[in-house]
Order: sequence, then C-alpha cells, then structure tokens
Amino acid sequence: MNDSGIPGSPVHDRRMAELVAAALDLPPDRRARFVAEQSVLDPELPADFGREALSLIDASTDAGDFLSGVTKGALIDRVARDCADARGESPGSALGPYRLIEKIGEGGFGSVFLAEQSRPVRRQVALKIIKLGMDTRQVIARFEQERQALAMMEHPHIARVFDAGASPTGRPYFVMELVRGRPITTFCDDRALSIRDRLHLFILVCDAVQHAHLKGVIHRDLKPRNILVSASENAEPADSGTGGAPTPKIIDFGIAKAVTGKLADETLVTEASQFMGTPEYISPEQVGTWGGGGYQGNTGDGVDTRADIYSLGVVLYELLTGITPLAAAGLRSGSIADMQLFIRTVDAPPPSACIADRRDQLPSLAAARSIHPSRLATRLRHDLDWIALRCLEKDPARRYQTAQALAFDIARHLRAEPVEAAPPSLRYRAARFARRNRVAVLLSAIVALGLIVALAGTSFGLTQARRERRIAELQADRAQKTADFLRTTIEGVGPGVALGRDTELLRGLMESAATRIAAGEMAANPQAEVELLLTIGMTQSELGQHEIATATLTAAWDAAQRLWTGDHPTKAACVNGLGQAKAHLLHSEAAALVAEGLEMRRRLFPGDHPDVASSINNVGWVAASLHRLDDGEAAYRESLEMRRRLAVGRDDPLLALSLHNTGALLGVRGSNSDSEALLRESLDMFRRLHPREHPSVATGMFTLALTLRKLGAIPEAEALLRESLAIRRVLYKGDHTLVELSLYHLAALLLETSGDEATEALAMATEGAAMSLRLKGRFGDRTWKSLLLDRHIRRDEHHLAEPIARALLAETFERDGSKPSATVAKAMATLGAVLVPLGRLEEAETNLAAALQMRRQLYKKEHTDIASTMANLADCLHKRGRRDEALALVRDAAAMASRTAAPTQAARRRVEAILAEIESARPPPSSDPAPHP
Amino acid sequence: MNGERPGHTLSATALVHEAFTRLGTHPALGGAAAIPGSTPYATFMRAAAEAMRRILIEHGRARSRLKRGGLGRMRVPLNTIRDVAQLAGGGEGDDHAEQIVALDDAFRRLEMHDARFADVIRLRFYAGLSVAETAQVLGVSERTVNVDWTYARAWLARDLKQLDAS
Repeated sequence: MNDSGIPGSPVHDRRMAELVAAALDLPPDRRARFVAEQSVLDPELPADFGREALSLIDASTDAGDFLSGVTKGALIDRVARDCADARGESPGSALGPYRLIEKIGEGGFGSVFLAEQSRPVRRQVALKIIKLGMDTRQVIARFEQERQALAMMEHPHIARVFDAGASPTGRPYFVMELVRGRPITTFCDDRALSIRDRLHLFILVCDAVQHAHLKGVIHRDLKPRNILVSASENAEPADSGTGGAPTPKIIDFGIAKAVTGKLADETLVTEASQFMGTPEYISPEQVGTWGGGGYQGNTGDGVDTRADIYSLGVVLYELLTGITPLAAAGLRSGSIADMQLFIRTVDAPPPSACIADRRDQLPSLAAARSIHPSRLATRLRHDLDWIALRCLEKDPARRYQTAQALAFDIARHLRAEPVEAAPPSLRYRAARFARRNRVAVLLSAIVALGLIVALAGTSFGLTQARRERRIAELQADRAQKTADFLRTTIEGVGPGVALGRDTELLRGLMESAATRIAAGEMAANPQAEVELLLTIGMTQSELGQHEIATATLTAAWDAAQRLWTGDHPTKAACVNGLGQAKAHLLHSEAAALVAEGLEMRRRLFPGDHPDVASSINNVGWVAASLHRLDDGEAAYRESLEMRRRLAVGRDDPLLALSLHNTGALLGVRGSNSDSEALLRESLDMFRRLHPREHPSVATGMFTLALTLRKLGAIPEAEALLRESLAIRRVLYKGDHTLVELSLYHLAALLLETSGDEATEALAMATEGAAMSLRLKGRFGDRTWKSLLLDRHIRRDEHHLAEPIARALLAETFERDGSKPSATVAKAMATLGAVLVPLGRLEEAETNLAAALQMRRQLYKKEHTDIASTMANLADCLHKRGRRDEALALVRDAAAMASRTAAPTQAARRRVEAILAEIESARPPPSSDPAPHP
Repeated sequence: MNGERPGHTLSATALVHEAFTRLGTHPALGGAAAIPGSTPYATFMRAAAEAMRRILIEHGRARSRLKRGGLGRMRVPLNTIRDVAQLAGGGEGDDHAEQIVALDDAFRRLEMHDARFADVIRLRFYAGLSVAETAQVLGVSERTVNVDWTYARAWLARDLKQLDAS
C-alpha cells in the first residue's frame, strides 16, 4: 500500500494537490463529479479523500483575491543585486588606483563614493558605481565613445570625467572631479537668492551646456541634482557672509548617454519611483521615443542638443517658481503610459500664473527669492514667462536652438531689452522702426492688428480644456499688448503729423479695424477691446470723421458699460469721447454725455487730475458750441486753473490748450483784452513746446489774430494771419478747412483795409471760394459770397452786390428750406438792404419785413440785427413815401441800437444815419392841394 | 535601514533590503549568490525568503500588540491579503497588522502539515519569486510549482475561513 492512503504523508498530499489543481481547471459545475470519479478510481485513497478535496476547492473559490497579487520576481532580483553590490563595494575596498572612502550619494543609476586616487596623481575624486543589471561591456563601450569628447571638455562649470572602468564584480564605474555643492535649486533657496541672482547663475550653466554642445556632447539628464553649486572657497567670509561668488558645476556629462540607451526605456517601464524618480526633467522626445511617437531628432533616437534645452527650461522654471512645470501642470504619478502622455501633451502654465495659483506657498517662495510676495508674480510676468515656456516647447524646433540663445535672451531681459521669446506683438519688433517712420508704423500696426485679431478668432482644434484655457490666456495677453502698443503709438504720433499724409489709407484701415473689433473678434479680452475701440474712435474724431467716430465710440461705450458696472477710467474716457464726437455733430445728447464723463471722473479722481481737467474742458467746449457761453466760460476757466496747478510752472500742451480755448471764448464774448492776454500766453507756450510747423502754433496765431483785429491792432493781426496761413499750407498741403479759414480771415481783413487795391485779397477770395466748393460741395462758398457781398455793400457797389445776395438767398432756401433760421433771416435782410438803393422797393420791403419778423421770433429780445433790419425797412418805407411809418420805425430802431450796440459799432452808426436822413428829409408834397390864404 | 521603527510603514523594497542586510554576514553569500540557478542562489533565496517572512511578522505582531494589547485569533477578510507589498505597505489605521499575524498563524500550521507547500508560499508570496524562479530554487518543474501553489493557497484559505466558525 502506498503512502497515499496516509493523510499527511507527502504522497498523499501530492495526490491531493494534483486533484485539487486539476479540478480547479474545470468549470465549476463539473468539479464535484470529477473529484468523485477520481477518488473512486484509486481504492487506496482514504474514504474522505474526496470530501477533503472538495472542501479545499470550495475554500479556494471562496477566497477571491486572496494571494492574487503575487509579484513577478523582478523586485527581489534587483534588490538582491543591490545588496550584493553594496557589500562588494564598500568603504575600504579599492578599485584599481581608487580607494573608496565613504559613500556620498545615491542616485538612479548607482552610488557615488568619495575616493582617493593614488596613481598617477594623488587626489580626491568622486567615483560613481553603476548598478548591476546593466551590460557592463556595453556601458563601457558607449562611454569610450564619449571619452574623447569628454577629455577635450574643459570648462569651469563642467565637472571633469577622468576615467572609467569595471569592478571585479563586473560593475562599471566612472571617476569624476569631486564637486562639493548643493543642487542649484536648494542652493538658491538656502541663500534666498533674488530672481536676478538666480538668472545670473543660470546663465553660467547655459554657458557650460553650450560649451559641451559645441564639443558634441549632450548631457541628456540635466536636473538640479546634476547641477551642483558651491560658494567658491577663496573668499573672505567677513564681507557679505555668502562666502563668495557661487560656482555651478554640471556633473555626469557623458555618463547618462553611456549608461542609458535602452536602459531608460526599461527603467521607465518598471518601478519608476525606485530608479529614476518621476521623469520631470526628461524632454518629450526622450519620453516619446519609447513606444513610438515623439519628434524626429538628428541622432537616430530622436534626441539632440535641444533635449538639454528642455531640461534647462525645467530647471529655470523651478528656480523661478519652486516647482517643476509638470507638477504645476498637475502631473500625478500614475501609470507610466499616463505620465508619458502627460509629458508629451500637457502644457505647463506660465511661471507667473503658476505662482498666482499657489497662494498658500507664496510667502515662503517669495522669501526664498528675496522679494515681496505681492511682487513675485509680476516679476515673472512677460519676459520670464516667455523665455521659460519657449524652452519647454514640445516641438524641439520651437525651442531655443542653442543654450547660448537662451543665455542671451535672459541677458537681454536683465538689461531690460526686448527678448526674442516675446510673442509676435508689435511692441518689440517696432521699437526701433517706430522712430524712423511713425506714420508708416501706425499703418503697419493697424494692419497687423487686423491680422492678429483675425487669428484670435480661429480655433486651434484643441482637445484638452486646459490647453484651451492656456491659449485663451495667451491670446488675451497678446491682444492686450497689441492694444497697448496701438494706443501709445497713436497717441504719440498724433493726428497732427499723420494728417499730412495718406489720410485716406489711415481712415480706411481704422474703420476696418473698428468694424472687426465691434464684430466680436477681440472677445478674448474685453478690456483690450474697449481700449482699442476708444483709441480708434478718438483718432477718427481727430481726423474729422465725426460720424464714423460716433459709431465707433458708441460701440466702445456700450462695451465699457457691459464690462464695468461702476466707475472706471476707461469707461469715463469712452463716454467723454463719445460726447465730444457728438458735439461735433451738434447732437443734443453731447452735453449730457460729456457731463456724465466728468462726474465719473470726479468720483474716480477727487481733487486735481488731468482727466478731470480734460473733462471740464470738454464740457466747456460743448457748451460753447451750443452757444451757452456763460457755462462755457466758467468751465474753461475751471479747467484752466486746474491745469495751471497740475503743470506747476512747466510748459504743458494741455495747459496751453486751455489757455487758448479760454482766450478764444472770451474773444467771442467781447472781453477782448483778457482774451488777448490769454492767447498770447498760450501762443508763447505753443511756440516753446512745438516746432514752427505745428497745428497748435498755427491755431494759436490765428485765434490771437482774430482778437487783435477786434482790438484794432491790424498790422500784427495781419502778420499773424499770414504766418498762420503759411504754416497751414505747409501742414495740410492742399485743400483743408483750416487753410480755407485762414484764407478767409486774411482776405476779409485785407478787403477791409486795403481799399481799392484789393488784388491780393480778391485773389485769395477766388482761391478760397474754389477750395470751399471742393471741400464742402455745392453750397460751400457761402461765406466767401458773404465776404464779397459785404465788400460790395460797403463800397456801395449795389449792382455788384445784388446777384450775390440773390444767389445766397436762393441757396439758403434750397439748403435750409424756409423755416425760420438766422441764416435765412440774414439773407433776406441783406438782399432787402441791397435792393433799396437800387430802387426795387416793393421786393425790398417784402424781404425786409419777412426778415424782421423772423428775427424778432428768433431773438425774442432786442438785438442789433433787429435794429438794423428795422432801420433798413424804415429806409425802404421812407423811399416809398410812407414817412410817418418810417420815422416811427427808425426811431425805435435807433433806440434799440443805442441799447444793444456800442456807439462806434458800424451797425449802430448806420441806423443813426438812416434816422438822421429820414428826420431831416422834407416831407413830400401832400397829395391834397392845401388852401392858399 | 537599521531596524524597525514601529508605526512606520515598511515598503516591499525596505523589506527585502532588511532581509539581505541581516543575511549579509553569511560567508556563503556574496556575489555568487546573485547568479540564478546556482546552488548558492537557491540557498540564499530560501533563507532570504524566510528572513523576509520573519521581518514581516515582527512588524505585524509588534503593531498588533500595540493596538489591542494581546494576541488573539481574529477574522480577516481574505480579499484584503493580496501580496506582501500591500501587506507591508499598510498605512495608519488599517488592519494589515492583524492580517499579517493571522496569515502567519495559518502559514505555520501549513508548515507543520506539509513543509513543501509552505516552501512555495514562502518563496512566491513572501519573497516574491516568479514561478520559474521558484521552480529553480526548489528544483522542480514549473507545473509542479503551480499545482503546489494552488493547493497551498486553498489550504490557507480554508484554514483562515475556519476561524470564522470558531
């Protein structure tokens, strides 16, 4: 009998094991029968053999996951080797001429020992022993390839690799320059180095990497642990306490390549946390070559010098923010495949955004960088963001192509120069170009804006919400930069200069830009949108396109109201600008809009403030253009005083402008000597601020001339008008309302003063009238007609005056209809006055009577014009034989004139002359014969 | 790695390292033991596996004592005992200590019943060897290892289940 019958015997248990295992291979419903059959087959099995088997089977199936996770065995193998290694090479043992002294570090590939070299020279070195499990011959062979290049590398910031060999147990080792130092990130934190100092240190590292690349050596494993920094030894501790200039040294150059190769793949596949840490410093193409994918490099395995650039970018990022980009992007350790995908596809947030996201760590991060917490994110914004992200581009072709380029860009940043990594905003590109040709820059900026705005609207075919958000942020940022640039350029150029050239093109471009913006193409950044619309609208307004400006500014105002519910400076600027544009068009809402802007600005900026002064000035200007001269003068004075205070004794263009506006208004109101004083002051300031050929200088001269004329200072007025005209001709080169205006006033003055010899004046009038027709169209030359008409009337050339007067009246009717207006009244009164001396009394009376009635309706009170018309009508009636009527009328007229006009005024003198004439005229013979006594 | 610190977790790696360190002074061991298939390797592995088991038990018993102040048979849900790394790597407030202890009790009973089957558990579960490696160490075929493993596992399951009943 065999032992199988004995429970507990090896044979018995063997049989039991076989039976249980076989039964478990069968589907559950067949097991019981199988067991029964098998146990019956062998009579030597004990009676309860089957029952025992079944109970085991049941227990097994009920156990579920029990012991299901048993590992595959690689673990113990490796660790066994580890321990064998550690024992084989330990302090005291020797490897050739190197005697191990103590272990100083543990890395992914092996251990690092401090060793003493005895031959050929005595010195202390670092000896790195690579773990078992790597094919030693291959490792050594690969190292030999690098050895030549490594031997030629001599750089103060690269640790030398002296030698390589194999231990008796077959493990490769490398002998390197001993570097005592801390990882660069730790070093910087310990010393609380500022951003600037960190960057200086980093530049040294880039320099070293560049040197290596030039020798054809790629590091492939750059990370803080491989960039050790020490304070140099030969410094006096007493001075700054930091012990001297920090010196970085990059270690393990050339080793990574020798050791890795296939190994990198394996170690990533298996327990990454055991051997390499999370692969945060590895470039996407290094990750990507495993399992396919990744970008094509030029070294066959897809990895070239730009992989080192990426790693440098990670280190830079960490120096700036305290964490690696992948951690900032949310890398969680997960399956290897997940991590690889993450590295290859997810973009890190810009350093400044990363800081902003980590509020709770901000105090310690800022302290480690010797900067105030509130300023850290700002410090990193723009330049450093762009530089870091450019290093981290997934596509190597988009990174810096050399470490030197990276270093140079950082250096540019440190010198506050534009960096190359900046996105294609115009600010950097155009900085130098702008000085050469400002208008061309403006035009190209607007065209570029159109392109950028167009691009901002396209979709990038995004697949991940995070990328979308990042790109949207970058777009918004780009839009903001463009808007800033445009605004400063436009404001700087000034329409005064731009006006002289290519206004058509400029207007067209601005209009198309405004339309596209209003159509929603800058939705990514509503604030930039508002600012840009505002700038364009204001420029259009200054170019004289008030209708279009109104449309643009209305869009800006609407958008501003949607964006900000309360007060905001930009919002105030919108409503103010819109009010100004509408005032040019004489819209009744203009005053309310400008007033709203002023109130908002008063709330935003209590006390003296340029924006408030500007708004007050605009209120005044709107009031004046609506003929509310009291309000206008008050506002101008207030704005002027505020600007005086703000200017604190300096010349300021806005102060000069206020002086001018106030002086001009006073002139209109008749306060001529006050007007003169202010206008002189403003003209002097304009002259100091601007070159001679400048619109403000021309306008200053012009306005002063008008006042001087009223004061009777004719020669100076004439000189100023001539000069103003000359400047304007130069500035505007052809037809322009301001040239015409100068022509007009100069011609008017000359006509008045030159008597018969008015050749020049008449020539000007001809030119002016023609220009006016070209500029304004059919009725454009009305003022010129009036000018000539006045001259003819003054010279009693009624026959010459009559056709002009008729034409004027006809044109007025055609243009304005017959509804009551000052212009219609004037035309009728003038024609009437002209017809009287010509003897066409009936028609004259009709006109004059109508004019009088209209004027009474319009003025609603006494006025010199009414008195004039009354006097002329009286004259007419007198000539028609109705002396009593005429006398009564002219007496009233004279009385009115004495109240409304100064004695010297021409109109009043004329009324008095008519009075005298009628009074002194002998009554006509009565129609009834009187009885003779 | 010098000794156990109660209250801290013990990772699988640490476990193995500890084992090897304890065995480190054995003259028969050394570089040669790293060569699979050799006799020294087998010896080494078996010893190492046992050492690992003992370390784990110490760990578990120490924590179990801390928690409940005495030994006692207890019920463990079998699903929760999957591999040594999981047992060794338990965190605060879990029942791994109890599981370790319970499993060990069962294991010792198995060992008394048939040492060969206990070997397979020791090498595969406690030391984490693969089927092939276990076959090498034990000098048997892989099929045998699989059969033995199946039986041993069922036996332990039944043993632990029976605790419920008592």
